[in-house]
Amino acid sequence: MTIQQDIDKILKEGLKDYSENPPSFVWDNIEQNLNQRRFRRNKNIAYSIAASIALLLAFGAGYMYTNMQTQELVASNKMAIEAIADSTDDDNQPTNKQAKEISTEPSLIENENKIDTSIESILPTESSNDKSIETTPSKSSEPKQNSNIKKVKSSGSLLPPIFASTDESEPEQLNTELVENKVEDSENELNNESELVSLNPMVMKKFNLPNIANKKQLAYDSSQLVNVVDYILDSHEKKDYSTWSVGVSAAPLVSYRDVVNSSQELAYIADINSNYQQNYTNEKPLMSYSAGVNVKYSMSKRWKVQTGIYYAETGQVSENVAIYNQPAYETESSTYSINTSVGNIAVNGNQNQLIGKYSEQEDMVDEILGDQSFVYEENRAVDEPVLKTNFVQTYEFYEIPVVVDYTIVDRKLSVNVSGGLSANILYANNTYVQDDGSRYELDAEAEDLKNMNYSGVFGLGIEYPIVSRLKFNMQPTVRYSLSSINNSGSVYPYSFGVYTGLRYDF
Amino acid sequence: MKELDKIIKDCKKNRPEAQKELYEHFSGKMFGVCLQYSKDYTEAEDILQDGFIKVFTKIDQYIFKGSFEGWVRRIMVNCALERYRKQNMLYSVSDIQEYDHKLAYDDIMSEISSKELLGLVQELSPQYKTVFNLYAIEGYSHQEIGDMLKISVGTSKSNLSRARVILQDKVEELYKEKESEFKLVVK
Repeated sequence: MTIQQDIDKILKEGLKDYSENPPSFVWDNIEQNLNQRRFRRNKNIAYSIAASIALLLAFGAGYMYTNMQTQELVASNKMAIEAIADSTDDDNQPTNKQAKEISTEPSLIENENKIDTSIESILPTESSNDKSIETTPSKSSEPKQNSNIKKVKSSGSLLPPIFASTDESEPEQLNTELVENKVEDSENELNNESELVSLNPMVMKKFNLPNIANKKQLAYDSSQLVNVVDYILDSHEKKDYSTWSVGVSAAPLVSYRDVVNSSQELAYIADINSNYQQNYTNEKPLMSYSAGVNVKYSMSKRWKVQTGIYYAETGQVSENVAIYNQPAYETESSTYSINTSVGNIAVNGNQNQLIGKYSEQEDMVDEILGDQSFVYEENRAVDEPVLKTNFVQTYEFYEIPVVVDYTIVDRKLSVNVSGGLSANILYANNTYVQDDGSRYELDAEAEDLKNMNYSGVFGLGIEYPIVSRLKFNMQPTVRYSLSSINNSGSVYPYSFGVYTGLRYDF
Repeated sequence: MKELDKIIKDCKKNRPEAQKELYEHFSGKMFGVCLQYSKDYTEAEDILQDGFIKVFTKIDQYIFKGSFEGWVRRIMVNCALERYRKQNMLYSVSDIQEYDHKLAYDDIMSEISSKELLGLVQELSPQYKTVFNLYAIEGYSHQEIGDMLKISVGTSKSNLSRARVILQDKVEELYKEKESEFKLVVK
């Protein structure tokens, strides 16, 4: 034994089991610190829950608001139609023109313009209404009804039938074509005054409508108009889009990560320290892929909600990691660990075996830097790395996204934006050694990964029908983790992929 | 004392009573480690405190592979290194020829107590002490020590040599003192 080893041994043996009780205040300080952390953690959890609820409320409120606006528009149109109907007089001219004539009463003159304004604000233009409405000489023109209905729909207006009646001199000839056969029934029924459509005083006030003299005529007109409104409401509510659809999509994926904080402890206990000191700047994005199936539910023509299940491989590449020969006392361990930004990867075997395996690969042997005679000389540690290589780390996830999708441009080539959350379940993680395209897998496992994480999803896409129900779509999508992928540090993976796929509407 | 694994699991659940139990179980030995890396008791107490807070906050990382004591010890050593780096004490050192002292291991071990040896290590300058502890006690290579302390492999080697020489002298001195005391007692 040399003198150096002697003194090493003296100290090592002498201090091996040395123990001394620390003063009690040390524990008091530790306890106080831990209690503060507990309090902070609880506070953070409370904030997270509050933020999630706020987000859900915001989404919900947005959806409700959009729905309410549609309903209000329909309701206000209906109300206006009722009001106009009520305002019509009995003398053969139950139209807005007639309304003007009626308003020759002194008390109503000043309100004349307001009536028109009110009506016009609801209607796009009078001319468009005229185009959309074809009056027919008699109610017997049944075969024409359907085509006229279509025209009304295409005009986008909810009130055209009113104006259709302007050219009619006889109420009996008032045929809006939109009024179906039940018009006749309702006509009979409404001869009974008790069935009159009630005139809302609020509506009267709002539209400054005149009092109506002939209730019977009013009843007739009203019945027609209300029927028209009912039809329009029905047609508005009737879905001209598919409620359910299924799709498949796949994407080439580029994934990387943000390192907010990495664990120093893990870096120090690792056998291969990739590059903790430089904040892992040797790590580069990984090219991989993702694919999956999805199902979409349309809440309205423009709003859809989508979920599905996707397989995605993400990860990163650690470049030029130096590997040293391990001395004998270190090879007693059955595993060695490689430190990366997301923690340590435990690899079965020892570094010398890795170097040995590496030197056996014909296409990799040139990468061995040092004298290969060091490789199996286990009793000496070399100061220069034996080889520098790239480690590829992959994480395979099953991703379950819940995404709200809004159609911005609703044409044949539609454009949509989508945003939501995805729960990602870690299914497997692998580590490879890679050089110039060749790679082989290590018997390894990243130890510090969480089994689950959550990411935000945002996409902007286009969709085009190949045939009527089968659509092709392409959607560049960004995913950013909202929770850290590992237990120790704060590492947030993100990915970008251009998803292309097909969607079938039921 | 409950089984250690159970205590560790409870610590992972952040249970205060388990944390106290774990501290009581390891604090003595770990305080010894901290003393080895520090110049005095105050410094060792600080390292121990930081170390245990890290143990409790990072205990999720321990996945029951390998010795838990070894894991805790590494955390203590890392805390000591962190402190060392913060203080950034750099001493210029030169390569020293290694002396060929004649000293018998068994004789030394029978005469000098652990506490006295600890005192000798503590007296070393911070850098010598750190390099010596990491190499001789923890078993790190010079390359690893170089990476940890941001010094060259050559510096690590020369620091180790210098530390060994100093310790060698001190051990010898202490041994001689003990021997003369013993002779006096016998006489």
